[in-house]
This record gives sequence, structure tokens and C-alpha cells, in this order.
Amino acid sequence: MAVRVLAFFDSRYQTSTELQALTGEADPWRGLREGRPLSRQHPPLNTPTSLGYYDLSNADTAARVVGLARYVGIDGFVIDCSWSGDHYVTGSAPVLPFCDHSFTLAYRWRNDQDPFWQAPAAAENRSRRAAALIAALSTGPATDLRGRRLVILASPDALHAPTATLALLREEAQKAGWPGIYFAGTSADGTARFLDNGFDAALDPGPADWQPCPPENQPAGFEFLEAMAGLRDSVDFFDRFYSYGSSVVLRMMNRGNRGKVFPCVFPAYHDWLIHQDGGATNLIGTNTQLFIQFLENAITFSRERFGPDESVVFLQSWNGWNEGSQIEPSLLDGDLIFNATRNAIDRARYTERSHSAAAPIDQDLAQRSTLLCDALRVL
Amino acid sequence: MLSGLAVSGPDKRIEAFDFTFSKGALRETEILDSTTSPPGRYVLEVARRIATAAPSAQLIAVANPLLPLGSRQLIDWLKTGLTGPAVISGHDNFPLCYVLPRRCVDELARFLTVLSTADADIDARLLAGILGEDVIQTKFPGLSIAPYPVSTSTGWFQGTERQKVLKILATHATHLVETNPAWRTLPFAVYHPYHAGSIVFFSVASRFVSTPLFQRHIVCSSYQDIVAAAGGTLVPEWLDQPWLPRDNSIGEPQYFAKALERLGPATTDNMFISFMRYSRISGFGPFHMVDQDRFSLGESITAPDQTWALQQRRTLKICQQPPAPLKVLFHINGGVPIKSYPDKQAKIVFQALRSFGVEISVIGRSDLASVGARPVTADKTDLLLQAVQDHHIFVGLDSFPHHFVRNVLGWPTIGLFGATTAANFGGGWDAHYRSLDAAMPCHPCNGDHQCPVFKRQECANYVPAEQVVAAVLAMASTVYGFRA
Repeated sequence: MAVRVLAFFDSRYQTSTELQALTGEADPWRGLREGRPLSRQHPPLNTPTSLGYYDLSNADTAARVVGLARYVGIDGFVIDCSWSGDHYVTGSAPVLPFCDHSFTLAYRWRNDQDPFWQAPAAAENRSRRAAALIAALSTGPATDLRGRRLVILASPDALHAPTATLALLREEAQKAGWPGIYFAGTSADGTARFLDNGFDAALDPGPADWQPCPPENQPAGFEFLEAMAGLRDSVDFFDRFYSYGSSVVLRMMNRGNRGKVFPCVFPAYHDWLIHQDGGATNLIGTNTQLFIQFLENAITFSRERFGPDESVVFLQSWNGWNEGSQIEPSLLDGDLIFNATRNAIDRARYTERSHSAAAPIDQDLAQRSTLLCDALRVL
Repeated sequence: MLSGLAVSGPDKRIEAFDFTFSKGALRETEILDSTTSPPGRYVLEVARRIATAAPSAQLIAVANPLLPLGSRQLIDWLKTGLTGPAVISGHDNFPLCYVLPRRCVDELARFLTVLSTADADIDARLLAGILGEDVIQTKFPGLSIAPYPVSTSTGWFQGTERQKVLKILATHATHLVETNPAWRTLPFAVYHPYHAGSIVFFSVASRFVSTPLFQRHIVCSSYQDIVAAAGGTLVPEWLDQPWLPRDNSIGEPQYFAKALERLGPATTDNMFISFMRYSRISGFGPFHMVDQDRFSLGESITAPDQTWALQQRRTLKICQQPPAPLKVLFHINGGVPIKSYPDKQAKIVFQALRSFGVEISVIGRSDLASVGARPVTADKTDLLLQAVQDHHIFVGLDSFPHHFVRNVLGWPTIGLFGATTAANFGGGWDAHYRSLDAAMPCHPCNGDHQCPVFKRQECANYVPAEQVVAAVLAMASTVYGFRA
């Protein structure tokens, strides 16, 4: 089976009362329409072109969105599942009619925003809540890894009792008729350290949550005082700026030593729009060719590192307009990133076919070689 | 962008065609990306595709492949002037578009490969010569292309000097057509004289071309043994000139001028010559060099399954010695540190393999004898051949020994890739071949002397020792039944 490329998808771009209630925002595009950079150092906001400020509630629009993602070579979307206060919400309904076995859905449970699971609770309540979660995650053709339905946790560290929680969810999934759950946890530090808790794999966090390199801006105390006195651009102090090149290269460096962690690839990232009071992460010096190679090599890595039925790469994102990571055609980039994504996937799929005749290396042999070489390094 | 128009019927109906350089899918609107193909080869390919798609077309307009031109622009320029063969150019004489009668594709196809695509006067005269009829020249006064960029967003690297080479060869072709009554029967030669690894790929490629446009191959005489061993189908035209130094002390165009002089009129007056040194950035497409060279030599390759890289038709040979002790031959020295497998890792590989009873030999590195690696001299092809036959597995860099051992000898091989990519230069994947790289986003950088990201001498994309060790032991087990 080919490596699957799954793109994070923001389902809020629709007229849905429950999503509006969840976000407290009647117009999901308002922030993008009205946002203005707070500093000349903030990368400009980009706005949609060919798809426009769309409403997924319109079936034709949803069809076009999924159609474009398929055209690029993406195999499915990952949609957030959040607790609204009395039930779980995904907002996936508009795209469901356009998904099938060749374009599947996976869900990321925003457990970091779900306080119930961050503290002890009565067993009965936990079961009821788990059943509700499984019901919400049951919609749409599922993304299967190793024959089990993929569920991503936004923050494994936020779970009060991770092992028991995963076991409970597996139990509820079984009751719901699922073939099983494949749990992937977003790793806060890019490692697979929490797999012992019952997770099957980890995945790289997004640029805002983890950077393998130091920020480019590290102002000293004097500069802080200047900023406070209005003599200096305050984002120098309050935001973090990283080089896109260093950031993506270091994410993949010595990656094999980080354990079973799926790569997360992004063409750009700057979230100053959602961090107006500081604390934004901004990648500078984005480079389309580097992005193509990032994606292509991540697919290669996933193919060579993981089993054929659990090779996956995550793309952040299909429509993360508020963080500048979108693949959809845009005003500033035209279809540059859109086509770059397609090119990278085309390249990777072609080389995947040519490489497929080479047999995978036995994991036991790989482990023995690693232990031996580590010992020789020490000696 | 590669585009063109078909003009059919008495009402001169126009159909537009837009193609792109393929990234691997080779869809109907994509054309294989080949670094060794001159722009003229793409003029031919676009014309071929249009002729197939529009079988009744009498005229075919092809945009200059060097330019980012779409069919819509061509229609704007040509909608009223499509009456016969023509070359449309900017006011600086840079060709924008060729209007070709259909027989250019059917009977005269190979002549399109020597179009300069950089000088409308030369190309118009060449076309007039081969067609035997007037060729209209139209210049747009408001448009000037020069200076043409050294590298372009569509993957060309050209520069003025390289385009002079194309002009010289187009002029040479025109001269042959105008002065030699037997010009239609003269052979076509490819100019691709160096380097050793490239000659291996080119020779192998020539064996897998079903509709060859070329008969001769201008190649440095120092590569006679490689050409003979690789069994290429092109007749060599030996160039008695040392191959181009890799230190950039001599430019490719300057070398070319000397080469023409060295070949002499007795040779050059009797053949058309097409420049097939690299014209495009080699890592732009995912296609193997053998497929890129097959395309250059005339093969259209319109579907992934037609690529050599996806076909299992390689020579496979193995060592006839008993599996134990397992003997592995390494080539880890790429000439400059960025191209060499890091010494620190290599020493660990050797020590680890020796602990499994594996005997290690290494080409050209007597300094590694201290870690138990037996030094081997293999600076001649026959010495390399001898050394390989004494070993079960060859482990090498993206360099001539690797390409020769895998593609000509068919030996079990592991390729180590740093700054360049296995997709372009690997060995065709099966149980007898594996490529290793660290899948870094900077890969391939095609860096020559230092890492462009970390500014170090070593390439971070080379895999760590444990992966080399595991790959060697896995291949030894699969191919020879060796148990570590």
C-alpha cells in the first residue's frame, strides 16, 4: 500500500450553528478578512482565490474542496473533534458525501480542550463520555492503519490516566463495531516516549508546539526595555521567529532515532493572527522547493521506516488560513503551493513504485545493528 | 511549460495544447523531464504529441521550450498568421515559436533536435534548408527575451555561453544541409563525451530506445573500456581529449569548442551533432538518468510503466565464492568531503561488520587499514571489475564505480546518497539493490563543496552506520543466505 498523505482540515468554514456556538464566531472568515499585521515583521495574511471565502454547507462548494484535494493527491482529511459542552462536534458532515475508500477521514480528538479527561471521574461517567466520543468519531469512511481506525490525540500528556482512557475507548469502539482503534498521539517534543501507554504511534507536533532549532530572534534585556518604551518593534520580544529552512531540515535530521513518529509537513506557518497579544510562532524565509523536498522525503522516510499498512505523512494543512499553512490556492501564492504539493506527491509516488521491489529490512536485524554501532561509538 | 497549436482543415481550425515537465505521473499532458535533452528535443516531442492528438493537422506551432509560454499566448500571436512554415521571434531575434509543416514530425523529426532555440535567423535558415521552401520570419517589435536567465523556474540552465553552443551546432547543421547534397543520409551524433558515470547511463540507455534518432556518440577516448563493457548501441566517435575537469577550471562551452577543433572537419563535416550535456537541472524530475537519456535519444516515454526504472530487465550476477566469509567492497571517497561518506561513520560500519566475520575492502583508502579495511586499487575499469568479482556485495557512493558495478556488471549493490538523489542516479531497486539516504528536506541540494544549510564539509543526509550495517547484512542474507 502506498504511503498515505493526510491533510489537516479546518471544518469551521461553514454555516453551522453548533460550530458557531463552539467557536463563538458567526463568520469563520472574519478574522482573515479583518486581520492586519501588527508588525512589518509579520508575514502577510493570505486570502483564498479560486475557492473564495467558501461555505462548506453548500454541497457544490464542499465537492470542489474535496475535488481539489483529491487532484493534488491527498488521500484524506484529518478533522478536529471538540467537546462543545454537551456533545462532541466535528463539522465533517458537509464533506462526507464526497469521501469514500479512496479519500478517507480521520479525526483529531482535541483532548487538550476537554477538561473532563484531565481529572479523575466516576467510571460510569467516563464510559458515557467515551461512548459519546466514539459515536462522534464514527462518521465517514475511516482512515485505517493496520486494519484499525486512526484516531489522533492532540495532547497525550493532558490525559489524566492515559492507559486506562485508551483501554476504555477501545472497549467502547468494540461495542460500536469498530475493527479496532489505531491511536496516534501528537508528541509534544517530537519523540515517541509515550507509546508505552497504549499508543500505536506518535506524530510530529505543528510548528507552534515544537521547534528543533532556537528562534532567530533572541532579544536581550536592553531590547526588552526599548520595546516597552515604544522605541522598538515589540514583536521582537513577544513573538518567536524561526528560519523555515533550519526548522524543516532539523525536524528530519536523525529522525530514525526518535522512534515511531509520523512526519508532519508544512509549507509555511505564522499564527500571529491568533496570537494578537504576543506568543506567535512565525516561520520566515519559506521556500517552495524546500517544501517540495520536505514532503517528498517525508513520504520516502515513512515508506522505509514504517510498515506498508501504517505508512502515513501528515500535511499541515489543507485550509489553515489563520496560520498561513494552507495548500488551497491563494491570492499571494496563486497555485504555487497547491501545485508544489501535487508535484511532491507525484514525485514521491513515482519513486515509491520504483523502490517497492527492495525488501524491507528485518526490524530485529536493524535493532541489533543499532545496538552494536551505539556500543562501538561509546568504545 | 511546453505548448503548441495544431492547425487543421480548410478553415484552419486551431486546437491548443499545453504540456508540463512531468514530476512522475506522466499524465497525458506531461512530458518526461530530461536533463540531457537539448531544447530542440522538446520541440520535437511537443510536435510529436500534437501530431498524435491531432492526426489531421497540417501545421503544428510549437512554443520555444526555453520560454514560459502557454498556448493562449500563442493563439494571440498566431491566430491570423498560420499559413506556412515560420519562425516567430522577439525583436532581439530570440525564437518564440516555430510553425512547422506536419512532415517535420513524420520525416524530418531528428533535424528538429539541432534547432538552436536561441537564434531565429539560424533556425529559420535551417528549417528552410531541410524543408526546401521559404520560412517566414516574424519579429515582435515590443518583446525582447535577452538576457536569458542562467537558470529558470521551469528547470533550464543555459546562459549565453551554453546557447552559443546550440547556435554553433544549428549553424553547422545548416551548413551541412546547404553544402552536402547527401545531407539526408548523414548520421546524427550525440555530444555527451564525459564523465564516466554519465557514459555508463548513456550507454545503457542506448540499448533501450525503440525509435532511435541518433547513430553516433562523441565520447572521450579514455572511456573506451566503459563503452565496450556497457554494450551501448551507438557507434563511438572517439574524442582524443581529456575529460572536463570537475573543478570548474574550464567551462563546458570552452571545452566544446576545443572538442570540435580536436574532432576536425573530417569528422564534423560528415555528421549532424546534437548537444546532450546537461541542459536542465538534473534533480527537477524524479526520473532515472537512464530514462532521461533514453528520452534524449528519441524515446517518448509516455507512461510510468515505460520507464526503465520501473522495469525488471537488468543483468543480475552474483559472486560465485561461498557465502562465508562474506566479503564487502566499499567505495566511500567522493573526491571532496561533501560527497564522501563520513569517515567517522565508515569506521563504525567496518568495525561492526568485522565483528560478524565480514571481510572489508575499500577502494583508494589505505589510511583505513587501521580499522581492518583492506585497501584496493581500482582506478581502471578492469581493476574495478576484478575487485568486484572478489566480493559478494559492493557499497558505493553516487559515482562511477557504483553506476558501473550495478548497471553494467549487475552486482549486488548498496548505494549511499548524500547531496544527490537515488531516484535519478540509483541502480534500479530489487533484492540485489538498495539505496540509502536520510530523507532530509535539503536532499538533494546537489552541493559541490560544502553543505548549503549547515556550512559544514560533511553531508548530513548520509545515513548513520547502523543503517549501512543492517542493509549489508540483509542483502547478504537474501542473496547469499549469509547468517550474521
